[in-house]
Amino acid sequence: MNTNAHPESNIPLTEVTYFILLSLAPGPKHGYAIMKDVSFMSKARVALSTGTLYGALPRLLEQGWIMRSEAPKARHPGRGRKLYALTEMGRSVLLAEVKRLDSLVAAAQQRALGETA
Amino acid sequence: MQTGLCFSLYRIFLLMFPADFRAEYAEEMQAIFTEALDEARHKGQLALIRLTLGELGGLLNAALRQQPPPLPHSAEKPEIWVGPPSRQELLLVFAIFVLPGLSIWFNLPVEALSVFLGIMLVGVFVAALLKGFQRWTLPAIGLGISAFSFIFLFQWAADLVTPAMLSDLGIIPKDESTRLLLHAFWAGLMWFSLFGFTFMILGVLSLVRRFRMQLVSIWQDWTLASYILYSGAVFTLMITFDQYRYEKAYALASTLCLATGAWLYLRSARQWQRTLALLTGMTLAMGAIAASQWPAANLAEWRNLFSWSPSSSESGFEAHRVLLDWAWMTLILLAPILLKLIPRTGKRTGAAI
Repeated sequence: MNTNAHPESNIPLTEVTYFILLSLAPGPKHGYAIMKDVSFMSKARVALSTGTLYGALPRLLEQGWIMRSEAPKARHPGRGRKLYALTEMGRSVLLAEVKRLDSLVAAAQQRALGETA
Repeated sequence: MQTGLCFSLYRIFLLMFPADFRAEYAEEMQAIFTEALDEARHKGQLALIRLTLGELGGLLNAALRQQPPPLPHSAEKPEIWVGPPSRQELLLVFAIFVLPGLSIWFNLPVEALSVFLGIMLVGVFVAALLKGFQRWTLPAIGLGISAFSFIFLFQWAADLVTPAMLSDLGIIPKDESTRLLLHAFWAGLMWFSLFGFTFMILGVLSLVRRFRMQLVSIWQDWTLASYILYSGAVFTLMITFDQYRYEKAYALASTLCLATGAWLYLRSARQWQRTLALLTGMTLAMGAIAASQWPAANLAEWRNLFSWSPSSSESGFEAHRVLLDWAWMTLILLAPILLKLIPRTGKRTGAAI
């Protein structure tokens, strides 16, 4: 597990990592819901395959940014469903990344205003 | 397209992942793929094909990233992969690359050649399993993989794209440009089937502990993967030479060109020289095919194979067709090297994929 307690030292994130963490921000989700949500948030620009998703999830688990738990058996009994949720560390990293992106956008907006002035 | 078939392929591709990864995540991944299949099935065949191909490609990519890292650059490569070829290796290269051309030259029955090559391929595979996958086994493995990928994977993929589906899409081969477009599609499908199948086989074999060290060499020197794919070109050339006039001389010439490329490959010390050797051999072989198809354009029996009347610019069409084949083959031969150039991620935290 990654014991680095400074979220800023873990950014910038890749787009896939960013979208996965962002997808989990409102609450826990299972794998398929993450894929759908990422596609929705990125306006279908980022289409995660199961290979890509499950290449990323074990690393995020190892880094301690997300955690995994058994999903309640309801719709699909017998199927290997697991829920993924953001940890405090994951949320901090995500917030740090959002802050970084905000500052980038702010810089771009300032430059744009300067040019039109 | 059957969803059961898609699911079976998915499960086969999952075998490329390490056992501990599969134990932890395979069931979950299959459950998600089943949900995605259910959804795609309601959207139609195209959605199903798109989903399946995308997922299989994603699995292949992810499985390659899950494999053990290559040996350090300072590590010496096993002797079996380097150095000038032995006499036996050259003999096998000759058999693989030139025998098909010779069989056409001497009018040998296709069945006799198939049986002979089949016995030889089985022999090489058995030897490879017993003694390990050494460089001399690669051409035979490439030829075997090529035949299997054509007979099973490509034919399966081709069956998915039915004439009815093409008709629905408005792709009816009436004019030359549409025919070329279709040919580009089929040729791409065939070569990508070979590419995908080759890497699936290598991925599966590298999971076997006793072969891992040998196959890791391919991760170090990706021209070896190109060499395997290059060997698959023999099969493609042989099915190209069908119903063409004067095919004997041209078939022999093209296989000799391929053999020359393989010989130059084995004699070259540097990776760029080996890559150039394969590209040269393949380009010369395709040149021989292009030359063979010009006189074929006026062959009456060849025209009867098609329901439409060949245009006056049939030679031009053939030239473009061979050019398209050459472009695909070049892309596939260079693909392993291009994949090698993709920067490895993972050093930076969070840069998992």
